[in-house]
Amino acid sequence: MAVVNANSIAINVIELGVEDAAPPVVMLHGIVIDNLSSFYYTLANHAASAHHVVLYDQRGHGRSDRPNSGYTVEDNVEDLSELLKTLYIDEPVVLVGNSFGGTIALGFALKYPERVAGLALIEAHFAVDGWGDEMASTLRRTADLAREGLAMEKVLRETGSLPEEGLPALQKVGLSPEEVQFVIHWIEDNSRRKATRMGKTAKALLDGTTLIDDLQREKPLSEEQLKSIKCPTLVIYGEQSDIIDRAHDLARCLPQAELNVIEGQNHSVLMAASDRVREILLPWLAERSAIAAIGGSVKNDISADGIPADTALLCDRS
Amino acid sequence: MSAGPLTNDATILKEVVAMITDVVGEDYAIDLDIDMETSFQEDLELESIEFVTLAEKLMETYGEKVDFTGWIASMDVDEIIAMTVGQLVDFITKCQSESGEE
Repeated sequence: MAVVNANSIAINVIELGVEDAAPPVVMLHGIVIDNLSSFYYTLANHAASAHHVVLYDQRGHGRSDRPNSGYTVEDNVEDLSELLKTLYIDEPVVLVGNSFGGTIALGFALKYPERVAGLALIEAHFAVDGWGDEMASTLRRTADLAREGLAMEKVLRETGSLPEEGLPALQKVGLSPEEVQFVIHWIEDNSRRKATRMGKTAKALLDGTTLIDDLQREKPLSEEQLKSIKCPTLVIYGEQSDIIDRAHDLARCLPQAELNVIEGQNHSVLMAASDRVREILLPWLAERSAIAAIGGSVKNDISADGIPADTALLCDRS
Repeated sequence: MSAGPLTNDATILKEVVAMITDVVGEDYAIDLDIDMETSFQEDLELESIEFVTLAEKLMETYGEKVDFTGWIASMDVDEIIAMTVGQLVDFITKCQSESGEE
């Protein structure tokens, strides 16, 4: 684990596996209550036997800096771009993004197509009409829950019990009974120290930075933009995901998309069914390496004109 | 880290406890009586990012003789979360005794 300076912030990064294996595989975690550990637990070590794996904490997350501002997708794309330069990675990379990590991966592929050898999008969010408002509203709710959770934890610590209905003072924010129960379970399920720290981290990010406002202003991606992403793209969603429509958008628009819908799973598919995700993702990563090996110094074979024809066959699952 | 060929559990445990203390902070660790039965999640209440920091420290300390990457890869998320200090110490001890003589 190392902390490096890139794009004027300190970024916590871990590199695992085979140092000169091409293409490097960069994993991008989700937003707010997430950091590089979710990929460390589920995929990074598994992929490291054959790949050069790079994990990092995005700005505001984990052990990276939490600047007050600069949380647009574009800012995150630039962090990634600068991080790769700092790590001397100048060849095309495979980006594996979960949830908001997928948003960043797509943003990077749009801005720097020549630097991407493939995308693996797990439950990827991306901006469609109304996305900014919806995201902002969800995150404001998360901030309410974090505040409520921390206040309840304090009461629990001081009095030894919790009111079933939550705290009167905090019901002003209008939590539904289900949400109050959610918070209570969250405090009970996670250890006290862990719940408190998670709550504080979420609160600091949501209340203390421009993240929510920045994302609210995010402009929708157009169909033309999606269609312009020509690299091999693995698309993995849970069947019951609340954003399953995004899976179909990607499958429809991206010429090299390979769609996988995992039965019985929801947005948490990476953590909840990591074995299934690995079964799909590891062979796909092996294909990327095989293609890089054929291409020799691959640099432009993959990025400029899409990919060698044989892999196109793998993308048609209809 | 250790000066000699000692690879017994007690030595490794001591080293691991020192690294855990380093990760969670002395103030917090001082109240914890860490032994082989202690679990990272239930007892130490380690955050997942702290566990990763610990794993990185272990890799730095023990180097290639101890294949943490392969070991973590052999487990599912639930197993990693349920891990005890003893399981970790046993794994390090086993790797060191297998890796040999010196």
